[in-house]
Amino acid sequence: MPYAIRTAVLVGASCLTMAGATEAQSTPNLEGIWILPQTAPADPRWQIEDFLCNGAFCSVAAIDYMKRLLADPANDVRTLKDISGQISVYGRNYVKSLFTAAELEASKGFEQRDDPVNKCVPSGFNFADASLPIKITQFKDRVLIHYEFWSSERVVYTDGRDHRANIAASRLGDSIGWYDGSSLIVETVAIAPHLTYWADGARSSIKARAYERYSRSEDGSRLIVEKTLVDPVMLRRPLTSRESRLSAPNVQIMQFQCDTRYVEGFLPKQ
Amino acid sequence: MTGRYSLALLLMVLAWPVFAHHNAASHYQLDKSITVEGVVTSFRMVNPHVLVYLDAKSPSGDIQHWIAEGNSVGVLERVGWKADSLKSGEKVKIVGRPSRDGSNLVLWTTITKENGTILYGGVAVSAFGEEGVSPEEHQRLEDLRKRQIEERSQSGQQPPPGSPPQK
Repeated sequence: MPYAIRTAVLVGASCLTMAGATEAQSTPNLEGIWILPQTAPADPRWQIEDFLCNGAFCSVAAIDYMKRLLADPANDVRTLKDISGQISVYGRNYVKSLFTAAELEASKGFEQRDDPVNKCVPSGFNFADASLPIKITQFKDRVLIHYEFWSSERVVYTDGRDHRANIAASRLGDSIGWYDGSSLIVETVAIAPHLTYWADGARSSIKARAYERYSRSEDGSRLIVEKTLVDPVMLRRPLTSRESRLSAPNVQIMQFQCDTRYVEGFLPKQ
Repeated sequence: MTGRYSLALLLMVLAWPVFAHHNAASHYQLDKSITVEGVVTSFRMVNPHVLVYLDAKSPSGDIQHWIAEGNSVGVLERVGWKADSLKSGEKVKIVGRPSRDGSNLVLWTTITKENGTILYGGVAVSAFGEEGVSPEEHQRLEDLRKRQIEERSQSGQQPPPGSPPQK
């Protein structure tokens, strides 16, 4: 199964970026600070699509749907609010269609006060970046991904090693990576089960794996991050999301510390 | 010194509400809007989400304690918020999304002060036509869309086969 998934990710690579064919032997430079619209909404480089569907909860299916909507002149007279609503409904229904029946049932009882973040427990792997800035630093044998969110850092080993045996599950899991043309592919296992926020109380299982592809846009100004979550307990089919982040070397990565006063705000009233 | 609140079901949907630590849809009813008018009792510029505490008067006249949840400190500071952007005792009108579990929580989109100043940045920069986007920002988005349409028109590009139907 893992091999099949890896193959699928690799096939996807050639579709995602045309540059891969010509840069097959070089290591792509993915370093920098990369942002989504909420960090600098007035940046003139953003396109309309970035405001409609771009981030951890935009499935590739929803993005494709959005593009078809925007390309159809029949929709030119519609308001953006109207179009965005249609995309949103489509996206939610699409994601729900991927959940297993057991997961749909299990997630029904979720209440927002049950969210561990309310107790300053960081969101899990599926929402590690939280749409906040990330910083990527590449070394010969590893890649560091620094998330502003929760000031966390993730190490992706690129020296050819395999996953560590019998490693305990953790928030960001165990990641190994390899370069494929102009992309960095990352495989992550041992991901601690967590609320994925894809819908209600949907939780990943201990069997979850993730495959990510990091590549630059053709003009180099963007980092495209595709993340595929594979979880036979939660999902009937893999779920792929896509972010398109702008290079923002002047953005300062801020410290993120959960404040206990936030926690107090969600304590049950006496 | 207390305000009031009202709940209105609106036929509106956010695109993809960008929120600092979770998917807002899992906590709030994004297809509904609520207005809470009250007096700020505390403003907490904290992570993971900035919080505004306020007292509001219910339709029956009781004083009810509310919490309005916004974005993270980093997001709000980058669009100009400061620790003293709101002060205890200020009268405010908060518009946002009601909680899913019926508790007195609101995901704010705008906060209007008594002098008419509107504070943005609560929820989403991705919400078109929503009250969470300033008029200037909304105009910029409309301009982006207009330019996209013009460019497509000039290129003579045909709509893709199988375009999704309108609602």
